[in-house]
Amino acid sequence: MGVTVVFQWELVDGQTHQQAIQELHGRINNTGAVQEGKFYYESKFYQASDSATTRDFYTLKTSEYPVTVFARVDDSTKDKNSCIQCDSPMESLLVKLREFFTPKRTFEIRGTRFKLADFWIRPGIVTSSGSNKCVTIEIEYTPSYFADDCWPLFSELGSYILNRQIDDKPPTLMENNKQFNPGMMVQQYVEIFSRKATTQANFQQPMKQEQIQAYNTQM
Amino acid sequence: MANIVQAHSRLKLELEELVPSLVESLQKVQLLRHSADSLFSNLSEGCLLKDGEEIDKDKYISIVQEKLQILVQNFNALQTKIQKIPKNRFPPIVQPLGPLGMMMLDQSEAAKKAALEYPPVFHQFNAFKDFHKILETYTYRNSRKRSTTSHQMQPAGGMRRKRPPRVIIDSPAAFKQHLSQLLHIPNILGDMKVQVREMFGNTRLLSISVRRTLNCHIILRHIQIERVIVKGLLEDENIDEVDLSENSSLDTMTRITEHAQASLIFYSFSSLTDEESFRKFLQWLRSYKTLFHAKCMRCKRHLVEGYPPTWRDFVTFQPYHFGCRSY
Repeated sequence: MGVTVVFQWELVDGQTHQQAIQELHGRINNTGAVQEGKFYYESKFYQASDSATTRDFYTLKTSEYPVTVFARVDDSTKDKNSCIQCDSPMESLLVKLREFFTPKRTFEIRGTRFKLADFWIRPGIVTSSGSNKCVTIEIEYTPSYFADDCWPLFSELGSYILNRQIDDKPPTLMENNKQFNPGMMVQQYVEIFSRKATTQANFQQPMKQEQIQAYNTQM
Repeated sequence: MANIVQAHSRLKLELEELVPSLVESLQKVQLLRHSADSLFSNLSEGCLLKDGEEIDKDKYISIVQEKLQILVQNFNALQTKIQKIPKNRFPPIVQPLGPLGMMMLDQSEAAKKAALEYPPVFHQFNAFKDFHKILETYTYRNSRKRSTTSHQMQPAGGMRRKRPPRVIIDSPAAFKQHLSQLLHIPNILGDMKVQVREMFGNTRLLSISVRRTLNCHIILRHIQIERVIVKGLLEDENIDEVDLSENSSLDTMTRITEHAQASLIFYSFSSLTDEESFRKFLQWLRSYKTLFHAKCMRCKRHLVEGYPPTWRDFVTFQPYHFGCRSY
């Protein structure tokens, strides 16, 4: 797994999630990417019954790694959040430990995945309890393991797909030449799941028209 | 055409001069033949006449002497007449070559002179050709190479620089020392990490990790590069588990493998020694440390069709997309 960055698509007024996904598919197709099957993510939030001695944690199952379950444990400081890679029988173990960890919420992401050279692009709709929550775009670049090195590539591709400016620097948890690990991906999804819908309203910075035209001509 | 008419008129004049003397000469020949004929008939008949009568011996001898004197006079007259016939009135016989024949008809004296000098030149040329054939036979017999003959094209910069003899290193210890000497040149490796694995015979595997970007596996025979495979950073990380039979699963690395093989050919077929071409290749490979964040020098973009600038110029080491590279 190379560097993976998860972006959240901000809905414009009156736009439904399905319309957003269709728009995203159109923009991704314009880059020259081709469809390569479907993907499916499932995340569960487990709350500790005794918060003094135990911690809350999230699990993430993905169709990309079908026999693996990623478990991310909460900590008071974000940098110390730990991620564990487990085999799939972990879920049956957690059922036996339900007195200590209660499953509270389940999030699902489904969508079509696209391939562009060594990029994997996975736009999907986040659903929880049967209702759509938000739209995410996951971009994975398989050859690189350091976000500091390959961030210009993400910035250029992400700016076109999301139609807005991307930060010049990678997310904080990937900075300082940290080698990418699956925990970083889980962390990004957890942040999106726990994010309220209103907090991202001011985040969107539309892309300049000249940049869009330049990118369109190149692609 | 005018030259031909003039030549014909000149020949006519010359023939008109020659014909009277030739006629006189023929008359002298006829007189000589007649006097010789009467002399030999007298000698054959002897002293007897046709009527059967005998002639006086003294008279017979005086008649023979008289006829001999006439014969000698006629012979002298013919000789003097023949000597008086003008010689070299006609041009010398030349080989029937078109241009040469035309030169003979030219009015200018220089052309005439040149035409007269040609026949001996032809003989010299034929002699030279025979000599060249003999020389070629000798050079072939002595295994002389074609490069020593005069028809070889010389390079524009003068004599071609010859590659020095190849250094063959058999023992692993000597190779390790030689390699360390090659790699310990300042700024040649930079932040690249090198691992060496002994394979069969004189073959070694050199794994070079370019700073957080890629792993390059080089198969060396002695110090000469045989094959290059570029893989991702975490693909075949352990040198003992490198799969040399398959290319990288990453499209970007497969492209760089193709470029590396092209650079290998470029440096190998240059006038550099094996060591120099090896160092150049390492310098070229080192330029890939900026693979993921360098912009293309031509289009000033990072991505084209999802690929970063995977091409590096062989001389300047500057990044280009494959479609943007300069020729």
